[in-house]
Amino acid sequence: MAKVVVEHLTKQFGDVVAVDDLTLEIVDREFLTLLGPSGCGKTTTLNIIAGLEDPTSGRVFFDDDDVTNVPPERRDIAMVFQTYALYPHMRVYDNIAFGLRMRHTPADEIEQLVQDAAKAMEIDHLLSRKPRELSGGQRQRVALARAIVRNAHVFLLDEPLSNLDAKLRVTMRTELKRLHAELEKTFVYVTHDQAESLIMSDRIVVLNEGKLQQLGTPEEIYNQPANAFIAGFVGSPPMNFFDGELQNGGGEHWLVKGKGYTCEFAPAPTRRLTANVSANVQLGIRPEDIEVLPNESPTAHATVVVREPLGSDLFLTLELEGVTFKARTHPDGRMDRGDSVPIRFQPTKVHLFDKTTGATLFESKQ
Amino acid sequence: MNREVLKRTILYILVVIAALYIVIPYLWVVLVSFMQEREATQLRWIPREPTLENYLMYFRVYGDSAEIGAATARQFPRAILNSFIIGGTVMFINLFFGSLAAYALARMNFGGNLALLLFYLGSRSVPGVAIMIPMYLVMRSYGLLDTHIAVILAHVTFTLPFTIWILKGYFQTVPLDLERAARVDGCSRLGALFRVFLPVTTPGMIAVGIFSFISSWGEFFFALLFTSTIFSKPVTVVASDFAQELQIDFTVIAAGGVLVVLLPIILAFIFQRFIIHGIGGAVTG
Repeated sequence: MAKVVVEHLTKQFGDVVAVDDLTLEIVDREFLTLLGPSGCGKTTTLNIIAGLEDPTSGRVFFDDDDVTNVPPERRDIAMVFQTYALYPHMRVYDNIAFGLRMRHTPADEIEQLVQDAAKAMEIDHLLSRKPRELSGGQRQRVALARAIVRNAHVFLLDEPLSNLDAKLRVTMRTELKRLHAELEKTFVYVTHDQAESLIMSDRIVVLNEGKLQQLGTPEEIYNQPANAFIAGFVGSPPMNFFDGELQNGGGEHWLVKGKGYTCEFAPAPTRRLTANVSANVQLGIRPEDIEVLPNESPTAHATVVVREPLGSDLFLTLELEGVTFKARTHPDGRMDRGDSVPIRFQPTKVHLFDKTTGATLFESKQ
Repeated sequence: MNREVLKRTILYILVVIAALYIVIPYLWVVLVSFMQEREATQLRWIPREPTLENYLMYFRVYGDSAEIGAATARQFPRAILNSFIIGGTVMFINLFFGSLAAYALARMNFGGNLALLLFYLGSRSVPGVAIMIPMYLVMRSYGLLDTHIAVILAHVTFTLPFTIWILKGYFQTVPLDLERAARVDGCSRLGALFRVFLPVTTPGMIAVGIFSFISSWGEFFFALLFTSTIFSKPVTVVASDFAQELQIDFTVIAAGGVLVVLLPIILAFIFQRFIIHGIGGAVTG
């Protein structure tokens, strides 16, 4: 068992609040991702869970034990660092064995465990090399082997893939997911890459400026973002935003009117609108939820600015009354630069946010 | 292309001139040390009848007292030992206290660390002559005159600030994640320092160690001030005693000079890789 609980965690560096009253419970054997832009406090949170930094206030629990004042060497954790942090003066073998030696594991057992970990990470032919003789991908694998060899219950991973090239990153994502499934341990993963977080996590914690923005499954984060920040941060290309005014079209039927467009929509049956009529709102719509050349009546007519074919999809950069936005459409769309095309925001996929606070105007009925 | 060649040629000529400017006096001392007295006074470069006689002067325990400069020369082995004791201790103190101080300054945020650093730097800008008398009085009141300790303390005063500055810069180039990884792997803070941090910083440590040793070895002023007998006199002070001999045998002094610089040069050669890496790493890192 290894449940990790963080309670009212706050960390200040001078006047800067890196983590602001963060409370979360990481379930045993869960893959939880801390997601956010740089400086959002995600690495600081991870370091506090590891015991490498002391919180200004708040507590950390492993299962039911309060470990807030327990030094890292006595917490049951393994960690992978963004820079890998391999010991440059030791061979790969000694790098992997170091943690076991520190914990006085018998020598023959160490030998066996190191060999097993190296085989699992497919680096058993590199054991006598020094870290500087390895490629980036190999170093990454050594760092992972060093983490898994100790059989800790909590794995902390601090942007472990960000120094790899794009192709290797995709491979390692799969590898990490497989590792998580095989090891059955609690993984806490830090990344600023929203795609990575969506692909790998059981649940995602979105942080911004040290504050918890939303905690949910990848689907929840993507489909029901709690505020405009999350909506704009998660998804690639990000969600499009338009200013508008909310009007009631009768019953469950609503309208948003803005410059050059009128969007009719009905909230999904599971969601309820919390705002009043004539509120100033931000309408959010993902690129894939914009129909170009729709069969039904269009929301607006927009001008094509850039056309980006991507093989499987066609991305269009469009302009509507001075607002540029993106739409994803079928690859054999014929529209060209300068064309005026009818578009339609899919009524069930529309997001609404408060113009001033950015909070969602939908309330989940759960 | 031709311009490039010309540029390189000029650059090399300038480098050679600079090197010669530094090397020629030493080279001359080395050559003279193998000459007969007669030849040396003729300002000749290459000895015609090379001899080791000048060196033997320093190692004959019962030297011929009639020989010029023999009294001073006989003190050399003991003086070299004194220098070695003083230099070695200065180096050890620099490495031990310097690395601890530099580690704290590089890794921990505490009130006044900038003030401390500036204080160390400022202490280097005080000319030795200015604190000569106070230091002498302090040493006298503690009964330290004519001991190794007096010279060691004086040399540490001047080398330690430099050591701390260089090591602090060097330590800051070591990624913090290395120590963090060691902590997670089961080391205490001190364990991480000794098992991971210090082994990784060996080149820098060797560089400042050699530097402090060589600065102590070559220091003359405070050594002269605090020592009076052969029981504590380092080799720089003994070498200056030649000036007090009635007649100065040039070639013997030259041999002494070679003996004095021999050890630092050997050290520098052995560790040149670390010295360049250590100092370079600290500056560019």
